[in-house]
Amino acid sequence: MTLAAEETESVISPAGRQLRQGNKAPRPARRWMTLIRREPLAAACLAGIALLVLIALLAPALAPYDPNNNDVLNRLKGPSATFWLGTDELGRDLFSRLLYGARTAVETSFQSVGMALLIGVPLGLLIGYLGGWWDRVAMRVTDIAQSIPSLIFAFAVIAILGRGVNQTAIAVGIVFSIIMLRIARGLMLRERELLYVDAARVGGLSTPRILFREILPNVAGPLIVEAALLLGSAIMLITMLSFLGLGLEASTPDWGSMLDEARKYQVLHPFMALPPGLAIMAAVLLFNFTGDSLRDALMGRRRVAHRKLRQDRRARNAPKAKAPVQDADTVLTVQGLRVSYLSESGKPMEVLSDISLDLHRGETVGLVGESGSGKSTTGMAMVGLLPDTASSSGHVWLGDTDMLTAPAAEAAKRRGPEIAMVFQDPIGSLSPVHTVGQQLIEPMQHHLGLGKEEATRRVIELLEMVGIPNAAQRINDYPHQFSGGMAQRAMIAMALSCRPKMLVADEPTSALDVTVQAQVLKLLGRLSTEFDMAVLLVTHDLGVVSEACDRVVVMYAGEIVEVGKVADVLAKPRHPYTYALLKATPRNEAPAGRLPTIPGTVPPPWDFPRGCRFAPRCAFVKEACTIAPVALVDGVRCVRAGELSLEVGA
Amino acid sequence: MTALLQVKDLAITYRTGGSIIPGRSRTFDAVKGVSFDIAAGQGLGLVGESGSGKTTVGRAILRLVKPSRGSIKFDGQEVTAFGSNTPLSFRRDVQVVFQDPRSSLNPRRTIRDTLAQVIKRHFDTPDDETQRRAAELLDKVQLPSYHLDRYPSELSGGQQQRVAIARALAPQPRLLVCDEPVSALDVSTQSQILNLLSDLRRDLNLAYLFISHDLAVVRQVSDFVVVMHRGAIVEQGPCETIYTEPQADYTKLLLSSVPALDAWKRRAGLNA
Ligand SMILES: Nc1ncnc2c1ncn2[C@@H]1O[C@H](COP(=O)(O)OP(=O)(O)O)[C@@H](O)[C@H]1O
Ligand code: SF4
Ligand SMILES: [Mg+2]
Repeated sequence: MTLAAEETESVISPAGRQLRQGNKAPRPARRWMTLIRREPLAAACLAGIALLVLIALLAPALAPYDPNNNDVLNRLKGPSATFWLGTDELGRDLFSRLLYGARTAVETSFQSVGMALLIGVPLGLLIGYLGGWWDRVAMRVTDIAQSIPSLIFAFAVIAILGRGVNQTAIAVGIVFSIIMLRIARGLMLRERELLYVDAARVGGLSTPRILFREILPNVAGPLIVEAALLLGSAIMLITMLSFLGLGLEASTPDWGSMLDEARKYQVLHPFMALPPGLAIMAAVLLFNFTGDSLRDALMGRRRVAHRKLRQDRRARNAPKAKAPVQDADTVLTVQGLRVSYLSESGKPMEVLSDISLDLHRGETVGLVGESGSGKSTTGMAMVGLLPDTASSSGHVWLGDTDMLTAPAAEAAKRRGPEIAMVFQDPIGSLSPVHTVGQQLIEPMQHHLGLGKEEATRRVIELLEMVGIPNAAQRINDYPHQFSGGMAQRAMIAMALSCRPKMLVADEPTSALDVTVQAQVLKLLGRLSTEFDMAVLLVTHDLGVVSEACDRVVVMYAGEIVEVGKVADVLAKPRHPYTYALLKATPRNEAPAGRLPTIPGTVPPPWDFPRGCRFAPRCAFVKEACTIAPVALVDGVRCVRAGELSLEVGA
Repeated sequence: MTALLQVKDLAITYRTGGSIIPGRSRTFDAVKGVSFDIAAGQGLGLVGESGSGKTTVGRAILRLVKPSRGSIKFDGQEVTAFGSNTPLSFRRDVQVVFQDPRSSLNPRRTIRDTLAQVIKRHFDTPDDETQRRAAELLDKVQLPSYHLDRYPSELSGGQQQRVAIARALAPQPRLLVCDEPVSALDVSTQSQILNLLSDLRRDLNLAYLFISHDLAVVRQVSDFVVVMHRGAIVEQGPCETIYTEPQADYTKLLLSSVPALDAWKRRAGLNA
C-alpha cells in the first residue's frame, strides 16, 4: 500500500497546538510566565495559596511569641510595637496565635480534602463504572448520609473519635468523601458513555487500568476544581466547629476559637475579632477564587474575546446601507457576506468570504459542501442569528431590512412572519419541560395576535397538515414522546405557523432515518409550492439535492464555487469540486472496484490556500490556479472552467 | 465449513427504569431472536433504521452488553459462557471500530500511546518492537508516522477514524465489528475509509460485521446482508440478491427511500 494518493492534509488546530505545548512544556519558567499573562487571577490565587502554606510551615519561625504563653500583665492589649495585633484575655500574642492558627487551618483542611480525594474519588469512580445495582445501593446510602447537615454529621463523628486536630480532619474528611464520591460518580457516568472507554474494554485492558489510566486523567480537571472549593468549605466548617467549642482541643491555636474568645470580650476589646475574622474570610475567598478561576481556565477563556468582537461588530456596521432594488420574485438577497470567528488563539479567522446569492419565491435551493465549508454559518447569517463570537460584513436583505446589521429586536420581529428556520436536531430544539402544544401555540398568539382558542385550532390544523395523526391529542405530549420524524414535522409546522416567505432548513433530515427522510423531503416540497415560499435546504448529500431542489449552490472552504439549476449541475458540473463530490457520493449500485475519492480534507480557515482554495485536492490543478484568488464568473469559480469537460457518466 | 461467528436466537433486554428491588424495573426488548453466521473473511452487512437493534447486536458480540437469551459462538467457543472476565484471546480476535472517531480515542493520549498500550497488552513486546509495530500499523491505515506523536484533537475526522482502525488492527483480529464507521464522515472521506477497509479485508483475510443505516454504503462492502426492523430480522441473503430482488416489504420501502443521485431526471420528466 502506498501513502501517495490518499495522504491527507494534517489539520492542527491552534487549540491542539496549545494542548501539546502545555503537555510537554519546554521550560517551566516560560510556562509560569505564560500562565501569569493569560490567567492573572489564577496565578494570583496560586501565589496566595503558596503564601498561606508557607506561613503555616514557618509559623514557629515567624511568630514572635509562643502562642500559648500567658502573660496576665498584658491582658486585652491593643496593637503595639511589642504585640503587633495586641493580646487576648490571657495575654497571649494575637499575631502569633494567628500564624499558628493558619498552621492549624492548613493542616486540617488539607488533611480532610486529601482524605476525600483518596477515599471518595476512587469509590465514586468505581461505583459509576460498575453502575446498575451497585450504583443504586450506594446512592441510597449517600442520600441518607447527606440528608444530615454536615456540621451535625461532623459533630457526631467527633463525639465518637474525641477531639483533636486529626479527629476533626477525619470527621470533615468523611463528610467530604461523600460529596466527592457523588461528584466522581457523576463525572464517571458521563465519561463512561464515551466510546474510548468501550474501545479500552474491547482492547482487553483491565478494569483498574481503565479506571485510573484511561478515565481518571480525563476527569482530573473538574475534580481538582471541586477539591479547591472544598478546601474553602473545610476552613469554614472547621472554624465553625471550634467556634462552637467542638472539634479541636483548647490548647490548639486556631481561628475559630480565637473568634469565640473575641466574642466574649466584644464589648471590652472589640478589635480582637478582627484578625481571625479577616483571616477566615481571606482564606475561604482564596480557595473559592482558585476553584472558579481553575474552572474558567479549563473551559477556555472565551469571554474576553467575546466582548471584544461584539464591539467590533457594532462599530463596523455603523454606516447605514440602502437596500438594493429587488424584483417581485426575490425574497432574500445576500450581498458580499463575510463572516469571521475568533480562533482559540484570539486571531479572527474568516470562514465565509464574499457570499452573494438571491432566493426567489417558490424555489428550493440546495446548499451543499463538506462539513466546515460554511453552510450553517451562511444559514445563521440569513436569519440574523450569528453567534456573538462572529464578526461580519456585507448584507442580508430581507425586503428592506438588513438582517446582518439590524438591531436584535428588529431582526427578531422578522423571524416568524417573514423568515423561519428548522435545524438538524428536532428534539433538541424543543424545550423538554413544555408540551409541544404550548411551544407552538404561544408564538402563534404572540406573532399573529390570536386568542388562545383560535391559536390552538390553527396549530392543530398545521400539525395535521404536516402529517401528525391525532394532532388534537398529541399537542398535550412532551417532545420526548415524539419520534425524531414527528418532532421534525412539528418543527416545520412551527416554522411555518406565520406563513413566512422563506424557510432556512439546516440539515433537516440528516438525523432521521431514510424512510422518514423521504417523507420529510416530500413534505417540504409540497409546502414550498403551497405557500409559494423560498426554501434554503442545507445538506451534505447531493442525493437529497437531486430529490428535492430546483437550484444548487456548492460551497467549498467558505466560498461559493458553483451555482446552477440542479439538472444542469448534476448532469454536467463545471467545477472540479462539484464533479469530485458527485463521483464520491456512494450510489446504490453494485460495487465496481474502488470507490472514487477526493484526496485530503477541507482545510481549516486559518490554512486556506492563497489561490484556488480547492487546488491542493484538485485533479486538474495547474500552476495558474495557485497564483491569486479565483473569482466567481458566470456561476463557476475555476480558472479552467472554460476548457474542462467534466462528464459524470451514466 | 463451520462459520467463524455463529449467532443463534439472540435476544437482549434493556432495563429502562431503575429500582433496587430485582423484578421491579421496566424493560425494553431491543433484540428479539436474531440468528446469522459470518464465515472467515466474509463481510456481513447489518442494515436497519435507528432503534432497530443493530448496534445492540454488535455490542453483545463484543461483550459490552449481556444477552438475555441465545448463543454467540466465536470459532466454536460459546462467548456468552465466558463469565465476568473475557479471555484475552477473544479480545485479540474480535475488535471494533465505532461511529464517532473523536469520542472513541482517549483525548489525553498521543496516537503512539493509544497504539502502544494495546500492542503491549496483547503481545508483551519490548519497547523498541512495540514502537516498530505502532509505526507499521499507521502505515497500514495509510497515515504517515509523524502522526504518532499527535493528539486526537490535532487530526481530522477521517484521520481519527484511521487511527481507530489501526488500534483495532493492533491485536491482529479475525473479526472486525464496524458500527457505522463512516456515518460521521463527509462523503469524500467516507469513500477513502471504505476503500481502506476493503483493502485490509483482502490483505488480512478479516471478517466484517458492518453495521450501518446507509444502504448504499453497505452494498459496497458486504457479501451478505441482514435487514433488521424493530429488533428482529426481516430478511437476509446474499448482498446483490437483497438489493435487486428484495422480498420483504420493509426492505423494499428502505430501498425506495434512498435518495437517488439521478432523481432530478425523474423529476424533470414529471414536470415536463
Ligand atoms: N461558533 C463558532 N465559533 C468558532 N468557529 C466556528 C463557529 N461555528 C462554526 N465555526 C467554524 O466556521 C467554519 C464553517 O462552519 P459551518 O458554517 O458550521 O460549516 P458547515 O455547516 O458547512 O459544516 C468551520 O471552520 C467551523 O469550525
Ligand atoms: S482553479 Fe484550478 S485548482 Fe481550482 S478547481 Fe479549477 S482547475 Fe482545480
Ligand atoms: Mg452544518
